[in-house]
Amino acid sequence: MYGDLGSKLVLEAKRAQQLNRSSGAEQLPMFQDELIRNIIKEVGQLSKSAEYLTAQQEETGFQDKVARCQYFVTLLCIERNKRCLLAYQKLRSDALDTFTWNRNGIDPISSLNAAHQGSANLSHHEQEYLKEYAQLVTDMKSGDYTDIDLSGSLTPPSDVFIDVRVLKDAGEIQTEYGVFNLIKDSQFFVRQADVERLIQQGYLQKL
Amino acid sequence: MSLPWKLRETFSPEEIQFMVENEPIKIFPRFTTKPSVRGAARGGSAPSAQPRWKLLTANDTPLNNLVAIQTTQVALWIALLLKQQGKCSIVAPEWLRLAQLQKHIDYELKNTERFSDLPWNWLVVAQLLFSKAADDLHDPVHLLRGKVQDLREIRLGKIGQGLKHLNESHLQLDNLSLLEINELRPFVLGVMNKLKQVHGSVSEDQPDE
Amino acid sequence: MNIDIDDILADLDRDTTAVDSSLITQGHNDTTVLGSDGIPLNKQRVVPAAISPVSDFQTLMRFWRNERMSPELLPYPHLLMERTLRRIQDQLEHIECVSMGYLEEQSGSAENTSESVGSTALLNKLPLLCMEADLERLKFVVRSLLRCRLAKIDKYSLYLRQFDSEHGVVPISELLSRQELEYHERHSAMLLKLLNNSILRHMPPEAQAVDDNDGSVKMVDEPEWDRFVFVYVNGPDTKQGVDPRLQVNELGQQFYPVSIQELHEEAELALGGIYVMRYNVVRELVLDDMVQLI
Repeated sequence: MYGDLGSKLVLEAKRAQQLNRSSGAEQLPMFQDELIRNIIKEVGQLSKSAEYLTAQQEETGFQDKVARCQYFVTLLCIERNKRCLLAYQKLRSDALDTFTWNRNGIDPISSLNAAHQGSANLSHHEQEYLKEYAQLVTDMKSGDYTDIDLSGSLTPPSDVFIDVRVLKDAGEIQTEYGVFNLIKDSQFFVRQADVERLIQQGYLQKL
Repeated sequence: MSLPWKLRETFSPEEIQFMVENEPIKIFPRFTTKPSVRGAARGGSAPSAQPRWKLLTANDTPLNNLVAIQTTQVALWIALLLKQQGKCSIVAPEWLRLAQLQKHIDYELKNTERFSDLPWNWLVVAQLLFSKAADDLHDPVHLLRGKVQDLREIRLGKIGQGLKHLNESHLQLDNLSLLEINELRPFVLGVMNKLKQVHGSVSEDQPDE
Repeated sequence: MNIDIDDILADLDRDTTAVDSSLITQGHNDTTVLGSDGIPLNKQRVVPAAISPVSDFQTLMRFWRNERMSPELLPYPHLLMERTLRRIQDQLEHIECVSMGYLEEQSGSAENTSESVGSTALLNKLPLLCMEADLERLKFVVRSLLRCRLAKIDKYSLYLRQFDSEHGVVPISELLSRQELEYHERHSAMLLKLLNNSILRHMPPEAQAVDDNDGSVKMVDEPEWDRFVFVYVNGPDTKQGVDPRLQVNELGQQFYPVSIQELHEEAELALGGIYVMRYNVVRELVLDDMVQLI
């Protein structure tokens, strides 16, 4: 039935969105190339029958109510298919936007590849769009907004400084507050951002 | 999108805490920053070299004039930072006492249709002080925690009762705190927006009754 | 620090009123001078508007909350943002200076690498710690605000493209900052290109428009003007005097009378009250800062 393919496409898009929201993952499933081509084909057929119906109506002097109704429904089907296609594409481009912001706008294509899903899931046009948008975000981050780190965290800063205990000797580290000699079991009060990696690597423990 | 969907149309609990942290609170500093009279005289009428505290989001004047053991008011986040460093004790607000909290509880129980006038940030302030300044409270923290929890539950229950008043027009909810509002927001707005839609489509069908 | 409340108010007024761009770019030091012509202000006098960072931060916080909760994109606070960004830059430099001085001091005292930080060392460090935390907080609000605005700019992309011809309170050049305008234009162009290439150009000619509002469903998303919002009625700044719109009810409470047109209902917004209201009912009061979204 006309419109079935469109529904399928939209459901697929919706499912992908919900999956990302519930799991926090950033998965973009394979671009539904074939489904989309079939929907476009369907629109072509609908468009032809609309033309035919118009011609027929002109012959009968627009008196045939059934034909007029048929014509109207055909137009609605075209419109519906178009909206399904646009909704699908828009949801995907929104996901690409989110992805770009989360990656700090840095080279999203290669981070996509690194995220084990590759840019192969994107259509050619989407890859181009992603590149352009990443450039736009990079441009926005510079200029007047350089100082505020536009793509930085949207969680309010809390505990800019923390107490840490040294778990393993790690030598000297240089920070804005001077040199710290990280000797096992000593304690320091440091900027969290400065020692984030040392904590991850197990040298320091947050108290 | 440039804003995660979770932050659209609502605040995160962390953001509510952030707002509350900007509010003033009284502290007893354990150190002095006020320039000595001699120093001030040397500086003369012109401002001395460079104030040592220069802040953008909070008033820095009290911080440059701290006198040990003299109360002063600073933003809550600064108070917590100083507290963390053992450089001040925090003067817990008056309402955060067992007796006061009990009064609020009594009021909540007696007046089923309204909320007692706790400060708009009561819940967050209580939570922050419990976890970061427990030794500065007027009463033992575990007892205070219990009272706050009771109060919270009574109010939540009342909110639940009040949900039947949701309508497509408007609602008055005085004395609800920011955190409580934020927790209610998705549900209340969702329901009211739906009711509005339903009402709208009904009146479209029957333009004049 | 001496702050004249009138100056603050004058500048706030200026922020929310139409200001021509020559005035916006001029304020490059802390004493901005009010232009005396072309500004619809009752206080047309030249004043040094020494607005304290704290009062600007409070304004910024209120604006941030309003922007986050309002369905529409609010007019960009050009002057406020300009001052704020400049202060952030200055403070970054200041912090750098102070921490350099701190390092020198430390290397002189020779006990810098001691295992536990001594009490005096900590006291010397405290202002710097605080200043850094303070700066991070300010940066966060600005960042969150701008990101929220960009999301709205994207959401209402098509609507903004036809904005000029609509009933906007301000022209689009004032609604958005220069950078936002550029973002809007470039992003909507690349999005349209994508939609065109993958879909629209395969459609029959009469169905190729992306902003077709004549079909069965409107394609241009408008802000949901009657969406419900939580509001707090703060009323006029006490120093500014009385708002003529305020009325007094039988309980002696001051309130704003508002009408919910869709329902043909009247309602009262009492000062200090918290309400759930349709945005379009309180929109003007929000833009005038008499009511804030919470």
